[in-house]
Amino acid sequence: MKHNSYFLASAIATALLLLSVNTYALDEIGINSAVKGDVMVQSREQIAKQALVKDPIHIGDEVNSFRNSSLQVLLKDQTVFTVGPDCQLTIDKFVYDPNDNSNGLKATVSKGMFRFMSGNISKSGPESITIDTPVASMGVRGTMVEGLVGLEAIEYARQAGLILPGTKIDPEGATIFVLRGPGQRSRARNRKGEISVTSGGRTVTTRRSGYAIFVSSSDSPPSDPFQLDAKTFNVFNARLRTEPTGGVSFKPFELDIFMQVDPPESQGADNPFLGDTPNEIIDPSTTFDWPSEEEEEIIVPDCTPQNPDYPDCLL
Amino acid sequence: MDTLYYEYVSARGTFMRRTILASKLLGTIAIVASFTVSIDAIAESYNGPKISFEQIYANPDDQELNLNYARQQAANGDYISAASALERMLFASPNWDSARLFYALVLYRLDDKQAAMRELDLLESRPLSPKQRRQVKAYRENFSTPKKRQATSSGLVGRIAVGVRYDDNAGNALADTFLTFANRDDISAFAQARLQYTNPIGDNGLKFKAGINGLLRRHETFSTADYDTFGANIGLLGDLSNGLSWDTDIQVAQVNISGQKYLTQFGGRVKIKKALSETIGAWVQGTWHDQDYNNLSFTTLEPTRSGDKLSLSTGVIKRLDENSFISASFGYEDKKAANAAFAYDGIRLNARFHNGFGNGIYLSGRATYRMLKYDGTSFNNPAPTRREDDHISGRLGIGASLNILATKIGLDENPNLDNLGLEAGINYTNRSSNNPVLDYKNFGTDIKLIWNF
Repeated sequence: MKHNSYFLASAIATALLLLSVNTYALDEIGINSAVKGDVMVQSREQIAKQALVKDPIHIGDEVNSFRNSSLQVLLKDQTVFTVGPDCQLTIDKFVYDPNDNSNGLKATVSKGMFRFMSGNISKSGPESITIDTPVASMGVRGTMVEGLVGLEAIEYARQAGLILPGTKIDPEGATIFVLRGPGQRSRARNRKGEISVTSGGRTVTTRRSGYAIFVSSSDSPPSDPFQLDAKTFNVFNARLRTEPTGGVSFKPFELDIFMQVDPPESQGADNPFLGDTPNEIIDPSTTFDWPSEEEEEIIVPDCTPQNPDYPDCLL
Repeated sequence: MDTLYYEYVSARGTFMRRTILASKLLGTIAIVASFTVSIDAIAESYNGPKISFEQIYANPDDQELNLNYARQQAANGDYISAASALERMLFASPNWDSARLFYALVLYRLDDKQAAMRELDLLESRPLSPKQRRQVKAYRENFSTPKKRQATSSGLVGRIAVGVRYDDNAGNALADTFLTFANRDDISAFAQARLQYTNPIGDNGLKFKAGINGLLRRHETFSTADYDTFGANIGLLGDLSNGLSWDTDIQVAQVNISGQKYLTQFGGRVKIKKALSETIGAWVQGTWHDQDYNNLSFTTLEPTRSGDKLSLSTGVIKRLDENSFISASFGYEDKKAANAAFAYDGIRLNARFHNGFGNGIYLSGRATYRMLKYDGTSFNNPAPTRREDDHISGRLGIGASLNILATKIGLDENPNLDNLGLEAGINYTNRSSNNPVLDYKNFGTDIKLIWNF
């Protein structure tokens, strides 16, 4: 009897172990698609290990990158996260069924710099993608967005004149979100980019490529959208993108790509009108570019050959 | 009964004729717009193997696969996927200059010009091939924010143009006094200038504006039809809240024909604009002018054209990108005159597009349809039939800066030529009247040199 009990217990334990492994395997939501330098990924109940290309990423995995290091994560819905140096990212939720509209993605960035390019989940709706930082929550609609969490964000906000006397600041959680595109004049078929940042009971939205929103603390409302200056932009570039290292040019190929026509607005187009939820601030009057005078039709006196309808009169 | 039947048939025929004319107008606009769109859509032609996302997911470090995937996705207009593939490639091979050049173009297409320019800057110091270097240069020109010709804060902007024009039916010109002068072709030269000055008043968005404009036209054959127009405006413009802005001015103009004063016009304009989104705007506008006509040495009835003219219009404009827009408007005009034969009212439809290809070359077009009902009969058409006219006119032009044209013929680029351009156009006018003697058609071409500053 004793042996049977032991055997039964072992069998059950093994089955549970196999089940958990299989379940964990089913949790795979993406892979590491590119790695540079030292990036550690901690999966639940496992030791953190160096990220390698093609390693799977699971819900709840915590990504920690170190100095001069970065990681590109490719999720199953084609979302791409780029984890910049000294960054900590966790993907908390990932629900994706290409045949379903109730998909969702939620991630938390605790520190550092990141870049996000939306995939198919963004098509489910504006509330389907959320990126949280210690002080704010950002909703994303079909977009490329970059962010910076921590002390550096405060410094760049100060340079932009956003830190006023009395501003409450969370030195570790203050965040800058930057919308990179697709801009309103993009010719891509991708949905035009939009981010909505919520904190302190208020939401600020921007659709302007190159504009940023700053949040100083969880009790403070987001700033109005402001244009990122060139110096700050270069900092983001240096950490989130690559630079040539000075070697010979690799595998040249002919670039025969030219311009692409803009698709009709009917193809899953975004609503061009103002948001209809309270506390949203969008001011298109500062962004719409009316044609210059030369492009406008010049109304000329009637009954002259200059009139487009010449001749308009006889005798 | 016969009269009523005739009127019914006549009215039905008029309606059909106008419907056909309007359809032709809209059809022409659609054809031209699609033509310009197709020119712009020198579509990415990806002829490689079809690659699925699953293949990329399984082989994210396969450079060749990612390159073809980026090409495929860019050809399909999915520039985000193309960008992420190119970023993967550059992660692994930061010295892949061709990929970086492709990445710059993709970023530009995503309207992230700042990032696109950064990639081009990185390529400047790289050992590129001559073709790649030319591409970097060309992209840099395209990606650069074009100089705005409008004084958005304060300053003077202007345009001067000179050109020549041919019309295959310059007959029925204003100065012709006999209706039998039909199908008379002519060549004419013209010079046109426009200056506009704007200056802020205070800090509340109010601006003062003033401008002048003029046009001279000289005919080769029938110099009696030579004319000059001069105009000036002065006014204010300002911003309200929620994307609303307004623009109002007082306008004066004078038209001289054959060196004789023909028309003096004085009036005003009020325009309210609203930005509905970052790419769509709408407006309503009203103009009123007091028109005072004078006889010429070879005319007799011109002063009876004098009277007020009121125009109301509303329209919408959509920005396709910073170089391109389309617009449409609907309006109503009411012209009073001492002589009922010259007084009319009716609707006006306008459509316009301007498509800048981002490389200094542009295509622009305009079409107008007017349906006018006169208060009186035309002179050789007995009462009670009041004159009714349909006007269709349009112009299609293609232009480029002289700098671009110079590089196309192998000359070195010269940025000083960026503000000088050459434009060629074709235009068409058709007036269809219920008095067939007044029907008129003209087809013309023109070419002009333009200086914007």
